[in-house]
Amino acid sequence: MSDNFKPKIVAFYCSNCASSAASVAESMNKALPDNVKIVQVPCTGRIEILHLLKPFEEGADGVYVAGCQEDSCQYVTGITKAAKRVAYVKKTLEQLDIEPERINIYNLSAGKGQAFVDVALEMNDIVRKLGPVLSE
Amino acid sequence: MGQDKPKGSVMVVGGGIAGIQAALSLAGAGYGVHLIERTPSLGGMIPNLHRIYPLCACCKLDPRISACEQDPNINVMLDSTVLDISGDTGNFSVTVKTANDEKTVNTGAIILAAGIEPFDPTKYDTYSYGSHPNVLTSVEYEQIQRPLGPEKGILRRPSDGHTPKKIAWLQCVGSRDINQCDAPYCSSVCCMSALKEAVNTKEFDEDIETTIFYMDMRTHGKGFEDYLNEAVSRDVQLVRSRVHTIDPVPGGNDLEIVYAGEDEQLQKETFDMVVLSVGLRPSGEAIELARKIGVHINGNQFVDKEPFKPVSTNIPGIFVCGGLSGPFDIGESMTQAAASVSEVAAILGPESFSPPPGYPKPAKSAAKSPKVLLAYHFCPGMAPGLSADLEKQAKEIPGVSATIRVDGDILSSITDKIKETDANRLVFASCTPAVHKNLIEEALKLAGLNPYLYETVDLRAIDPGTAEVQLRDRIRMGVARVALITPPPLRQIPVVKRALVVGGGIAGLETAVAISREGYPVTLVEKEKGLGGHGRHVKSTWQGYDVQKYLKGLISSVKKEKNIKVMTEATVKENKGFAGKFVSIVKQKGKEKSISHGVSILAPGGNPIEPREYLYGKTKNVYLWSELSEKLLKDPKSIEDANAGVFIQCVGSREPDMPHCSNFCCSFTVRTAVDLKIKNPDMSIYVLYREMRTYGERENLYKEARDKGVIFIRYDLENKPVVESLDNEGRLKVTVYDPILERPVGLKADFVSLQSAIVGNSNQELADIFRVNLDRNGFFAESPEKMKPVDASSEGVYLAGIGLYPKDTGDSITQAKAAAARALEILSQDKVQVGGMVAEVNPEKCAVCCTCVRTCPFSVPYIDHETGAAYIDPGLCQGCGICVAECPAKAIVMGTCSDEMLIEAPAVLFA
Ligand SMILES: Cc1cc2nc3c(=O)[nH]c(=O)nc-3n(C[C@H](O)[C@H](O)[C@H](O)COP(=O)(O)OP(=O)(O)OC[C@H]3O[C@@H](n4cnc5c(N)ncnc54)[C@H](O)[C@@H]3O)c2cc1C
Ligand code: SF4
Ligand code: SF4
Ligand code: SF4
Repeated sequence: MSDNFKPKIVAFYCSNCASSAASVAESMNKALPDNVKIVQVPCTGRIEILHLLKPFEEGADGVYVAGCQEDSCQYVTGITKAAKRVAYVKKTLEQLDIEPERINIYNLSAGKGQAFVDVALEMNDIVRKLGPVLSE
Repeated sequence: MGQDKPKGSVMVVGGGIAGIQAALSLAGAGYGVHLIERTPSLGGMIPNLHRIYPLCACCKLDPRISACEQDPNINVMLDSTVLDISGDTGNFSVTVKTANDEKTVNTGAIILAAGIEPFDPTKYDTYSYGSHPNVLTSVEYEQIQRPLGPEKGILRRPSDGHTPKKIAWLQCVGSRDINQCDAPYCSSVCCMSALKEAVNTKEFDEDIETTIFYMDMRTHGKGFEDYLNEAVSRDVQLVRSRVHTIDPVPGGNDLEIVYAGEDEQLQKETFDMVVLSVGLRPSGEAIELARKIGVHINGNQFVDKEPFKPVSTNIPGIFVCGGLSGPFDIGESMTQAAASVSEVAAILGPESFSPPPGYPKPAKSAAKSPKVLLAYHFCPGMAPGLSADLEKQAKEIPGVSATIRVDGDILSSITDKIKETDANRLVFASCTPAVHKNLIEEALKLAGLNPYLYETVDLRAIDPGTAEVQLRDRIRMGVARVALITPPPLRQIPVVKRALVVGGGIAGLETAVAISREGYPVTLVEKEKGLGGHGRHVKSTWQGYDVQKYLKGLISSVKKEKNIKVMTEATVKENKGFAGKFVSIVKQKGKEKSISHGVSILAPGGNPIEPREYLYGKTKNVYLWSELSEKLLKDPKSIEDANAGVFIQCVGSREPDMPHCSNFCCSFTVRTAVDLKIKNPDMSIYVLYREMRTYGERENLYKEARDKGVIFIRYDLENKPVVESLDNEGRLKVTVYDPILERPVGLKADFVSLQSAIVGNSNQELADIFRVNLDRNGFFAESPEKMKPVDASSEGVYLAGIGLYPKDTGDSITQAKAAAARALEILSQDKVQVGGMVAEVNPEKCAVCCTCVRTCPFSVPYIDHETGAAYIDPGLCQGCGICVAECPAKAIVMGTCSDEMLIEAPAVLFA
């Protein structure tokens, strides 16, 4: 695949940790890559399977959810619920012959601010290696 | 209910942050306020500063200033000073000199808040200040750093306009010095502000070398040690040395500093610029006034006050807060301002100038098609290029009907612009929109709109190289989403007029007293058998006041007060609800009881950790500091008769596992050492310290200890002291490496006192129950809105005492009174508004499957048998949206994060 492939990635961030993690990232002069596009939700528990599949339909090459640590979700079970839905979407993608690695979930925390950007870069790497979604 | 109190207005003298805060809280509590300011504008010191430590909050000042100007209950008098004051509580007569005349103002109580002046270093003739353009005071340096200041934030040295490569800071200029400037005290704020200035310099240009020359690095406040560590990791150099001379390098613009390093060797270094961290002085004119009317002034020339009455002067009805009464930072000044409002309320009933302003009735904005206003705010720390990009993007995004760049007074600029453009939705972009949420919602309300018709755009973590794309994406997303919001229904709910106070220590007791004396019932929950908390082991405050006597008086007044219900051996198990209407389950001796209350105050206190070093617990005569203090109360002879004692500082504090400074252990040690020396001048007392943090006026005590012969030896983390047991009698030997003698010294001691780290008592447990955040050191986090020093991260929950951060008795009392004042603001209202970012069930669609009942993490939804559908109480719903996602019938909606918004998102982003 070509080296200048720039994947389209949609990231769902919980607004709590996105905000506190962003301030740490900012203070460390870390920036998000411009091909990672953020959609904020009050809690990752709000995200439904349909919301996760929709970006692929619109041409995304990867999707990820970034929320709190399992034990520090302000809404207790939000991130656990989101993890289940991401696992479900992985299976759905497999059935559609799309690599399940194209969707992922990450746990951030206010203390690990650099993770805010690091997960974006990691996902970017994964999807770059996979290349564009090959649609029939 | 204090029916016999006189009624009246209040005069606040001084329009800095302390005065502004006091005026706003007073007006909120129903008082008419005369706010007198000497200069042509409000704001005091802050407008001169570039950013504020530890968290920048400059954008929080201007809205407060304009709130003062617009409030019909605040009579702002600029260019005015007070000439004289006579009369007494309820009936003061004040002579005010305004720009063009002199008049008499009658008022019921007075708060002095005339603040500080920076020290003028001209008289230090060895610093070349005033004669060399590249030697500046810290205030002048911050002026240069300000993006809105005269230099537009571009750092250039004054002599030749070159970007400096090396900058030095000299600490304690005009502080801790009686030879040249008659100020023995430490100014308390300048170590942090120098760190802040250096870090901000690095932010401007990572390559500029920054070196701070200091004596002790005093980062004793909440989050300060973290800030110090961060500064060091960003390569801010720290050199422990007091510099005596700055020599201009002949034939150029550079400056040479000669200093003695820690090894006493003389070193030379050349800098492009030198910043003098000048000390704080109380406002001269105001001190003169205070003297004239008989207010006591202390030896440091600040207004005198007692630790147990931290905002009162010796004259009843005249209070003091902020820099006029000591070298305090912004957070402390604001806390004192709130406390002084609670003290005014105790003696004076409110008399307003006019009824409080209301909100216009919300228009039916949903009926109209969306008309979006895009407002954006530049923060001082933002990359310079970003603002230009943003200006450009703002004009190009489709769907935006008007744009405005807000600076300064965010609140009125947005309100006015909405009215002017007839917009009905708002997109707000700033570096940290979470900080501006309340302002935005307030602006929408004032403009007659539903307060939730907005979206925010976060401007952080943007790559300068691709800023254009990222800004466009983010703003477009905001604009698309805001158009899809359905304005959520809002409801008014009556306020439950009761406070719940958790913790029966000094802070909890003082809060309970301050709330109950305004006529509101208080339930105080204490987990132990007796009241008093850690205060029971404290002998005296650092000023030397008897804590036991005070505490006895406090406990008895709590027990006498009919309005306070004390529950001992009790703990809170559960809390539900929202500001104005909480329900707590309290468990007392096996029985559970449900209590309704409108506000919660958390004051669970803290304790020193038990160290696992220095033979603690393994041999007698090695005490924890609380144990030593108890011993001094119960069996003072056993300590006072000793031949020698050693105090070890920073035990467990300021180490990687527990990075915070415990704030008052240094002051405890110098107080105790001085007292012991007075009783037994022959006793040898050694203090082994890493940094003496006798900040503020505590410094005088440090000096007294040295004058009395207490010996201070500095140690490093790499070279900790070693405690050995010499015999079975309990004689001890402490070995420490002396950096001046450059060798280990052995000290014989009859006792060792370990000043170990202070940690919160049950912070984690309470944070979970009350749904509030902790900071990274395990103390309660302040409201993310900033500049609200006693507000927890959730509304209606207030904080006081050590749970918030380690602090001494006086500071805990101040916070308690401030927390009470905040709590009273809610208790005195009749109704609160609920709803907003919450979930709502559509009964027609609900299949009564109970999925929401099962999945809600807060057990909010229940089946309402009357409607035959699930019901979600908008007051209790936390707005996570989990039930919305789970409901198989799609019967639950969330207007502020709808399915439509999430489904359309990718199309908007890829357009
Ligand atoms: C260089 C420097 C950097 C600092 N950095 C920080 C920081 O980053 N963070 C922080 O928390 N603190 C910082 N501080 C401390 C901070 O400035 C003070 O804590 C704060 O300003 C005190 O507020 P105040 O309202 O008591 O006093 P001020 O801000 O001084 O306000 C007092 C007001 O009263 C007016 N006044 C005076 N006399 C009279 C009179 N007789 N009649 C009527 N009006 C009168 C004055 O004109 C002024 O407007 C810094 C201080 C300095 C010098
Ligand atoms: S030690 Fe005190 S007076 Fe000296 S610079 Fe630090 S805070 Fe200011
Ligand atoms: S002894 Fe306490 S107050 Fe002093 S520096 Fe150490 S932790 Fe801070
Ligand atoms: S939105 Fe969250 S808190 Fe509100 S009812 Fe639904 S699950 Fe419970």
